Amino acid sequence: MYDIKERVKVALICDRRGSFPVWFEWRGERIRIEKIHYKWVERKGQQVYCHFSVLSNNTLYHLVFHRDYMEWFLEGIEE
Amino acid sequence: MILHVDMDAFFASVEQATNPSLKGLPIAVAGAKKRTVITTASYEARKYGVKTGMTIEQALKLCPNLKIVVANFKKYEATSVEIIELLKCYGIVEVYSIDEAFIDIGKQNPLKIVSDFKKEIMRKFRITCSVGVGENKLLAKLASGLRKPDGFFWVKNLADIYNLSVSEINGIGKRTARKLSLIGIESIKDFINAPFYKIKKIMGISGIRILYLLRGDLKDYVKSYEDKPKSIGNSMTFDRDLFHKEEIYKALFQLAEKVGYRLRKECLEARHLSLIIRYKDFYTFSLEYTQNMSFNEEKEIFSIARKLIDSINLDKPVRLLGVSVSRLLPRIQKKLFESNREECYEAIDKIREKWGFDIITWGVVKDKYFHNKPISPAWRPNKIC
Repeated sequence: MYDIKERVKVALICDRRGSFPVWFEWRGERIRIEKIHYKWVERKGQQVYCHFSVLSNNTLYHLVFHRDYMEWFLEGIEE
Repeated sequence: MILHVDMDAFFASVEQATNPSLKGLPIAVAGAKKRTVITTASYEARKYGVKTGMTIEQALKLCPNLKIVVANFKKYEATSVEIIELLKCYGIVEVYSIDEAFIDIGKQNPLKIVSDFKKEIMRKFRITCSVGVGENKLLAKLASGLRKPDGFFWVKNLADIYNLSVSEINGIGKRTARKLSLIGIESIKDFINAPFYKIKKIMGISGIRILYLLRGDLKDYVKSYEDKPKSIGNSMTFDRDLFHKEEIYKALFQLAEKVGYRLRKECLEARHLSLIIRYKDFYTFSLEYTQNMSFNEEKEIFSIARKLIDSINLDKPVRLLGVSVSRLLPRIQKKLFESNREECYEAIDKIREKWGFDIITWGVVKDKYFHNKPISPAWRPNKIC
């Protein structure tokens, strides 16, 4: 996994199953998420980070949502 | 009836679920630093002989195609917390470790329950677990190890496990099994039928307890609560051996910080400190100190630890340091003339509660040593370790 740690713009769908990212924009490119392989929640003190391991075009992206600041980051990539 | 749930190759399984391209491949989860060992190997890797505790070099010699995955302990902790919440729907849960738990299901039929939660764990997390069922925790834990991975075994009669080796029993390791074998006790049947005095001579009271549990003369209850700890400790293995006192003091202070924070979180104070030192050549020893006045502040913990380390001649580079405190007492609030200091620590602890432990530290610890620590056996959900 290559570390990226950059802020990204993410589109989210919220339904009764929960909230899921559907695409994100990174370095000018819109990346459509084909599948969410894994998600987990990390707590640092009272700060909550929602992690998503998502697949697009055979590349695995690690997206993180910082709940308190409502910010999304691209944490890393694995091709 | 008690169930023991044991996640199969937990860390590796979570990584394979996170990245399905790793499914079916021999993978091993290891720490991020240079001097690191295998934390967990997938079952595919285990076929080549790759085991927990091996160095990466050793593992790659056995399995050149082995894919090493850097551990993400926060991910495993988060997954474990979710699995435990799921298991609580089925009975009273006692968390045994990050990947094991006991469930007391009372008089319910275990077959349907086990089938249900195995399916649910697979559906939600795409990982498997092995489950043992027994009249008590000892039997349930023994049973879960018999049909791994994705296994199930129910000890309905002791005769089902008579022929197994005593080393299958939790609490009997290879060394004890060897001692028992010298007096003719090799199987569980031999152990159950052995006279008390023979077991007591080799294993002491813990052996008698195991005997009573196996015979069904003793109950061990699943506890959903955590007892207060008897000791609190933290240790660090350094990615390069430390030789200079300043570096060692820095590491000691970091350990003291963690231990102090955990003590205050549990509303405890300590009267005894053990300092564990491991040299480069793996020679390990501890230095001990007890005082009448109890303590729980990192400055005091560090001061004691530093005095201990200054009392000896460190003649070799240090690979690992550990600080552990014991003889714990309930915390005394607001000691006379010390209320300012106590308020300072309260403020620091509140900041850590909100933002995480690493957000604040003392000025003396510049260039903090970053420690991607493995998960402690003492890990429990919502606990600081």
